[in-house]
Amino acid sequence: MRIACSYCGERGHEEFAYRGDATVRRPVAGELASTDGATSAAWHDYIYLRDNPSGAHQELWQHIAGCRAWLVVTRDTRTHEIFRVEPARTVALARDDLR
Amino acid sequence: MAETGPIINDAPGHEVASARYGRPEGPPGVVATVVQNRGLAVVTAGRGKAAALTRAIAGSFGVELPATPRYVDGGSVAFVGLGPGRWLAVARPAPCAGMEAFLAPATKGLAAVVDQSHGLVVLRLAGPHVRDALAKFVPIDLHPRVLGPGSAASTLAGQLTVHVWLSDDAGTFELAMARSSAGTFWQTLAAAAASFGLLVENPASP
Amino acid sequence: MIDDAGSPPLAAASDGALFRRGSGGLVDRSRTIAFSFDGTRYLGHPGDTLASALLANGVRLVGRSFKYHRPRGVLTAGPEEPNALVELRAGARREPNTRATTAELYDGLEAASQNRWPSLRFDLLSLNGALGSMLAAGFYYKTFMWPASFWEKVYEPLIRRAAGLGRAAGEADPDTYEKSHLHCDVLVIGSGPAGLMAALAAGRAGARVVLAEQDFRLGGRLLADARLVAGEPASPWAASVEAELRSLPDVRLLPRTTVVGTYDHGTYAAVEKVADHLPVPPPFEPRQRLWRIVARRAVLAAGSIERPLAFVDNDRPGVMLAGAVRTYINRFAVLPGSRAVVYATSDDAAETVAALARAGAEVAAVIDARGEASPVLASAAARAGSRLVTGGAVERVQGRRAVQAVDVRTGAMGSVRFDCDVVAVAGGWNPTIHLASHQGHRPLWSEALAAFIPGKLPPGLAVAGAAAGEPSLGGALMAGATAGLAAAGDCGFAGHAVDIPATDAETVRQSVPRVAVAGRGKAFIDLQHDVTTADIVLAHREGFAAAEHMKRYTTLGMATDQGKTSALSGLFVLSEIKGETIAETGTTTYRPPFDPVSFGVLGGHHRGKAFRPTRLTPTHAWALEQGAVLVEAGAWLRAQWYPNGGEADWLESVTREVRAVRTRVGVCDVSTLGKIDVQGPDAAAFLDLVYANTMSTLPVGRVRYGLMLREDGFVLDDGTVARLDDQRFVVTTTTANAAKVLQHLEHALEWLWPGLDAQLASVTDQWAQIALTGPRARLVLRGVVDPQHDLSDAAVPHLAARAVTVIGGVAARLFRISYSGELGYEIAVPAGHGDALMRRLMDAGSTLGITPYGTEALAVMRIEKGHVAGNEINGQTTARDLGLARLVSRNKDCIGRVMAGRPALVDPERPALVGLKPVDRNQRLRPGAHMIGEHAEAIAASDEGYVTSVAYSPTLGHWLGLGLLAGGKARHGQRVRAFDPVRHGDVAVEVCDPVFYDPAGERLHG
Repeated sequence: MRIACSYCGERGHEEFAYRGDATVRRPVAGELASTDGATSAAWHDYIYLRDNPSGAHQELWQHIAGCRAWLVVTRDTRTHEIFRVEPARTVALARDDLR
Repeated sequence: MAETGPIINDAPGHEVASARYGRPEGPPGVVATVVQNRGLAVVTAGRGKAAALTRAIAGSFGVELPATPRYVDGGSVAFVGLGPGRWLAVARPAPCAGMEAFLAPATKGLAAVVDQSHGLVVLRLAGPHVRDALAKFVPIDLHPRVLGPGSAASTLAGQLTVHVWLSDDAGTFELAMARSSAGTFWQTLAAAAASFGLLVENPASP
Repeated sequence: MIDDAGSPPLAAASDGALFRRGSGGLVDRSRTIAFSFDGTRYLGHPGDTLASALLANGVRLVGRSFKYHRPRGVLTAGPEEPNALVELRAGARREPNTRATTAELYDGLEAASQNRWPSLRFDLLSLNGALGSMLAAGFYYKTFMWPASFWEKVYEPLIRRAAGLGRAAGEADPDTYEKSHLHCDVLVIGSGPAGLMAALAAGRAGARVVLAEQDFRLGGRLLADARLVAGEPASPWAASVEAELRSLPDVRLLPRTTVVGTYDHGTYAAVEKVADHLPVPPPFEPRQRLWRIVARRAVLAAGSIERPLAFVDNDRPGVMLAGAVRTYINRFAVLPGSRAVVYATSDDAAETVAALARAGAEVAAVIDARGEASPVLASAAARAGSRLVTGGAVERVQGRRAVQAVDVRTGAMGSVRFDCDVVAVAGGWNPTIHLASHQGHRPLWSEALAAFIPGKLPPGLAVAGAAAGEPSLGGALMAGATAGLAAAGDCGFAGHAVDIPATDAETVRQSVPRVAVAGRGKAFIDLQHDVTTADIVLAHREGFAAAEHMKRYTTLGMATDQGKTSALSGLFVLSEIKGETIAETGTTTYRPPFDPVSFGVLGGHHRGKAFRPTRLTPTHAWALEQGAVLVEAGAWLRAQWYPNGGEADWLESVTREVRAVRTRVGVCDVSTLGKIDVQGPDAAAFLDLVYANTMSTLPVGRVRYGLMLREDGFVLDDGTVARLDDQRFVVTTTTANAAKVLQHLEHALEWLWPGLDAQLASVTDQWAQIALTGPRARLVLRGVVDPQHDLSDAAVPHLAARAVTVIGGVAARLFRISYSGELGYEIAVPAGHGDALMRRLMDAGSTLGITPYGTEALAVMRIEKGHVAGNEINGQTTARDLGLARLVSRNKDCIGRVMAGRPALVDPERPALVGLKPVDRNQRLRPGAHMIGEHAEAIAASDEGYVTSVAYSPTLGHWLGLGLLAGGKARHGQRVRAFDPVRHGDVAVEVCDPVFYDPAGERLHG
């Protein structure tokens, strides 16, 4: 695979480290004191539950042998076609602004 | 890649011997020079401070920090784009007070500056076959149309990671790599350049 | 055949071979080169393959088959060859299963036939043929099932001797291999008519073009067919195109290079046989090179592969593909036989008939299996003076080690025998679509072409010429030019249409290969794996009727040739048996590599010491001077211990080092610990989130032990955190986890808490760090730290961090920390000063008994102190398990905080860290031993944990260990057994607190 790093440009996948699903959200700090069922379930889902979509999938990759930036890569799991690559920090800031 | 016998003998870091390696006939296809007396530091802009840092660096050193992987030369100090909001500062000669003190006036409150003068080893690679030799262990496109003067890249060199930049119009490559694995780099380079002939020039080991 | 032992040199103009024509061909007749096959010397010319040279010398029997040891000859003239496999070269360079049809002849070439015993002509194991029913499809699965123990001891060795391919060299490969990267706009795969035109069109447009050709000569079928292009013979025309391509600056020609795989996003793998055509590689050159090619566009112009036809004994030497017959005649000027029968389902055979006739061979008969008369074939047969049998079929071959005749069923007339020494079979052509299908794209069946053609294509790949099913030369030239121009255009290089040269007249039509087989006997589909039509029938009858099942049950297409001449023919047979269309039967999956790839070239430079990188410590040269024994710690080479003359073994050396530290002072390079610089206004807040304990309360100038958890609540790593100023910290990681922890922190900072203003930088390589520890450490320290710095306990107390200068003005960081449990310091200097600092420390301590110590002594002392390391922080332990629960702050969020509180992770019965002492203090403990109850039966159900770390403690005078024991925290004082079935250990041990030495930590202070 070739991934177009938003800083370095297109590079081979051997330069990247894969982390996985970029859609899961770490439960917010306020939830941690509680150990009720809903909170436990939220943490359990965050740690262990992953969808296995056939088609477009948002994934975290790190350009570990390049600029070391974390990236959100939207990739088709069937064809490996890559639709979009964004700096993870930009995505994360936009995500946190919504909260 | 051809085996050439040991280019370094378990010597630490950049203590490679000045010598001709690989094919002995004809002019060397690759000339590798150990670069000395450079001050190196990684400069990382604080959150939301990249623009202010760029202005401050321009004011102090007369160069604009590149927003992309490029090399810009301000005379006493050059900057190589390493990543978003991150640069390698290359000062020559190495400032007596150390890189952190040297850069502090321009970066205070705007960026984290971390001295890497000892952490990174810098080599200069030139010669008619430098691209052919590098292509054996560097995966990026090295064609002059893609990687010309002023270009920079962080990428793989075999199993190591390196920062590469082209500092002049003559197509000279400069590479910075971790000190502890420089020996592995030399072995890799020696094997890759063996068929072209490699000349190593190390001022510290004449 | 020539016996030239002692004979005078032959005329330079000729190799004197009986079957070499007097003129023509693309071999260099000005030079004659000698080679040997099975010890007999022959002559050939540069430009020959081993196969063409053997045929020129009348050698037709070249090997024995895989299962049945049947005599085999040369079937093809290219990389698809299933039969003519030889061992090339000798000694350490011996390479089995080399195709004689692609092995380029060189002076002194040595080859040997395979699978024969005692000799090629008299092979005793050909009896396997008589045992054929035992070796039929699925024999692995059913023949040797009982008794089970017989499989390993009897059947497998027997089968491995009887069935198999060539022998590996059995010695280390003396040659080198390399990998290289290539980037281009347009990759053209194949240099036949379509490939040459594609490269020319793209090259003229200015694109960066790479043209890869598996053969040593560019031209493909242009070299093999007597065709006219632009009014001249095809091969000189190809040479003229090659010359123009060589003149274009951004065009790179790669002969002897096979593209073996297509991968995502325009990535291709190719193997260049740099020196396989030479006796040994030239100095400083590899034998082979693996190219990783990144191409924005690619044109697949790989041509097509002719299909054999099935009939009884169709594997006899002399049965050849019709296209190969004319390749040998036209390209190599070799006549494969003097009296031929041509058996065809394709008009393409007409060219072979004409070539045989022109070359002076008699064409006894032309058998057209198709029912209706073909005017093209009929006129070719008439011109050659051959008998034409329309609607006929070859029933069987007569002759054992060579074809002597064929029996032909001639419609209603019955059977006729034709004497012949070569049978040219023309079953039509299969487009070489493998590379278009490697990414899971299924090919399509074209009824019009009677062949599978590429279906949906991978992005960026176009297919042109015969590979796309184009049946004509003119069409291939046009398609190649069009594809090359379009590919260049896609890359931004607008070019002009290339003039398409005119070709001579052609008519090509083909039909599905005939598969019905009459008569008893073996009609082979897969010659390399000895799979017959009967095997496919059997597979179907036994329920393995799906294409993929049939393939695996029969192993059809699974030999080193990957079924290039057989896989589709097998499917045709299957579809006929099933009574379905070929499209319905479909194909099996195409996977890389297209061609056999050596492990050597996949490894490239990375073998031996270059297998992985080596990292050297700043004091490496000094350690070597001291005679240190080195150990690999990840990529690092570290001193394991420093033997002193006269010490019997490592234990004696390590014991001495430990005693020195405990009673005097020792030094150890600890630079390999990961070091990360953390700065910024939010640095403290960030560290609170990534460490289980609180770091924001750490005062400037102090160091704190830190524990990192994974988000699932288990321990990730441990280390120290030093606060250099309000907004700057330096943290350490274990040597093994340095890269992982940095990545973990970067993820936390960029993805989990992107709003935090903190900056990370690895400084592992920037700093040399040396541990100085022992009761006399301060005295030695005084000798290296510049005099203006106060080193008293009050000025530098336990867990202090100070900026100092050492050895005359070198800026250093001084940390008062201890892993050994003694008074200890770690001194960090810029790495280039590490060697000097070590030497100065040794000088300063010379009168104080200073002793360098290695990783073993380090480990002994940490076990004595009950410190956990990688054996305990193994991904399965929590802070609680390790007795570190008090560190996990309950007042803040941090990674792992919530999940560490899960009920199962706080279960008091979980295995917890304990200390272990042998009850009999003279007994040795072993790591990995399982702990079971004192009187429990030694079975898995009794398992209560295991011993993680052991050491002989010079301080306590006996072995001791750390372990993870169920409910261990409450079991101090109990006895268990450390049971080790692997090393026959069964030691009664006493469970105790894991801190064996100075539990109050008094030695750290003062």
